[in-house]
Amino acid sequence: MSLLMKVGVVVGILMLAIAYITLAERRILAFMQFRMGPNRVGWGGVLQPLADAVKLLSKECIMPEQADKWMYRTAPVVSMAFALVPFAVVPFAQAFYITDINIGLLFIMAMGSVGFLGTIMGGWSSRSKYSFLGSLRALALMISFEVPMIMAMTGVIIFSRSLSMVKIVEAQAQYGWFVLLQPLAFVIYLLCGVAETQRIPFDMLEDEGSLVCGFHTEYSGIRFGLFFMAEYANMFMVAIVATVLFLGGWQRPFVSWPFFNFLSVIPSIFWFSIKVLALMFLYIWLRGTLPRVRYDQLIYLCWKILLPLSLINLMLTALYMLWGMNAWTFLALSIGSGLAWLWVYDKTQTLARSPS
Amino acid sequence: MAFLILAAIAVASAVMVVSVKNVVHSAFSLVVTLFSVGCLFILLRAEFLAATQILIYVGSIMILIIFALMLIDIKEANRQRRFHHQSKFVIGIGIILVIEIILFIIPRSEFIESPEKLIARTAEAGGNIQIIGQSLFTDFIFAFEFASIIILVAIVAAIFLGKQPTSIIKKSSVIKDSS
Repeated sequence: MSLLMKVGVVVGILMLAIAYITLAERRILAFMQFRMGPNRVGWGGVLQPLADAVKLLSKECIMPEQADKWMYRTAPVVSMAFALVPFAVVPFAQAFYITDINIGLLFIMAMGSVGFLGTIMGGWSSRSKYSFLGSLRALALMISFEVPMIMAMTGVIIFSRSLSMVKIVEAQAQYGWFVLLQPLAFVIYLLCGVAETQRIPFDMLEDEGSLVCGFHTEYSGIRFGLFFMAEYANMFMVAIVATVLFLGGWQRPFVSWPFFNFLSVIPSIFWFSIKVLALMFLYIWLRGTLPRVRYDQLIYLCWKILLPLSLINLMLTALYMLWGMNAWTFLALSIGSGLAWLWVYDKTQTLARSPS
Repeated sequence: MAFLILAAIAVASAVMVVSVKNVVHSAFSLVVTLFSVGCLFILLRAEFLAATQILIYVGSIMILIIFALMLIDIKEANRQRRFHHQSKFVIGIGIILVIEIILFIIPRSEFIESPEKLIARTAEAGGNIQIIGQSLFTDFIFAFEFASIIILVAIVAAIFLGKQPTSIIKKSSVIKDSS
């Protein structure tokens, strides 16, 4: 397949997936909250995303008079573009990826952090108090989640000895899925991933209770639509990175057990999508279940709990590579030390809170 | 060709950083500059450097700078003069730097002579990331650790400076309350 065709296929499927994950989210949330959800357009609401797209495209794009015109116009484009670029290095199936570069994982992280600037530009250039507060919170969010996230990924990189997404998937044929060897890193990554996608419980930057809509309050029409699609593209990206790093990417389960060889009939893209969709369901589930946290609480969580946890994980992984201990001992050590840290942290917090 | 486009963007946005009146605009121009310099690193086959450049400078340092800029009064900052008498001094240093680059750095540059040879040599040694990792943790371990300690000291100092006023305020407010 030529490069251009691959790009076309990936972008086409991605757009379809983004459109239908919004419908799935609304239906699932409705199910969780004993509502009906959108079920009028088409059979059971299957044409709802189409109706939404037509609505967004045909609405007028209103710009506030005081807005910073250039930045106001570029912000949604920056958001959307840098949400789409990382999909270039994702191995979707055994031999299907647009490109495989030797810094794949770093590339994804770098593009994600540039994408955040779109959010901040949008909030700042609207010249509205709510948007401005939203973008300030976006900055606070970003400086808190990024460090533990990268530290958690480092454990996986030590095992796979490569930053290339394809090589990371291949390394998991040798070691088994990294979620079994790096449970701490997996949990840290999932938590930071929710923060990266700016969703509940960490969506304080579009806190509709106090900030109307946060950074995109002043946006309407397709400009709002671009922000919205970028959020869902980011959500897919986080789920995909979690799948590639921790859940074996496109590999089928039980690769090393000959008894399950019959599973290899099913194409690898199926395993990849089922893992990604399961993680997406997890994120929707979180949204339906959890309340929002304050942003100082998020900063405390990231810097005081998750960062030390990820450093513990990194140190243990380095020791494992140095001494080559038994995998079960390693697993017990990492879970044990993680729980021990949580206990110590809890103790210090109670000490700090208790009146002297 | 790609080099020329990226270099033009980098230089133009770097000029915007110092010439634009609005501080947030100049911060975002700096983002463009740093991003295009990162892209230039990709053209030089230094992918790891490019990714870290974008991740660290655009993703972290610029975020912190914008964070600080958003908290200051922009109207007050816009009233201040853009250039003052130091500009002549700066132009002098700039001219010296340009002469230095033309006279000393360009003639000695190994890369400008044979990019293919350098790329082949990097690939032979196991790629960019491996070389950087090995040289950082073996040959240059002292410099690496030393830089880390300097940064750590700076962070501790910044926290100390940032914390001090609030503790003084707290003490004084306590005294006021008791009186």
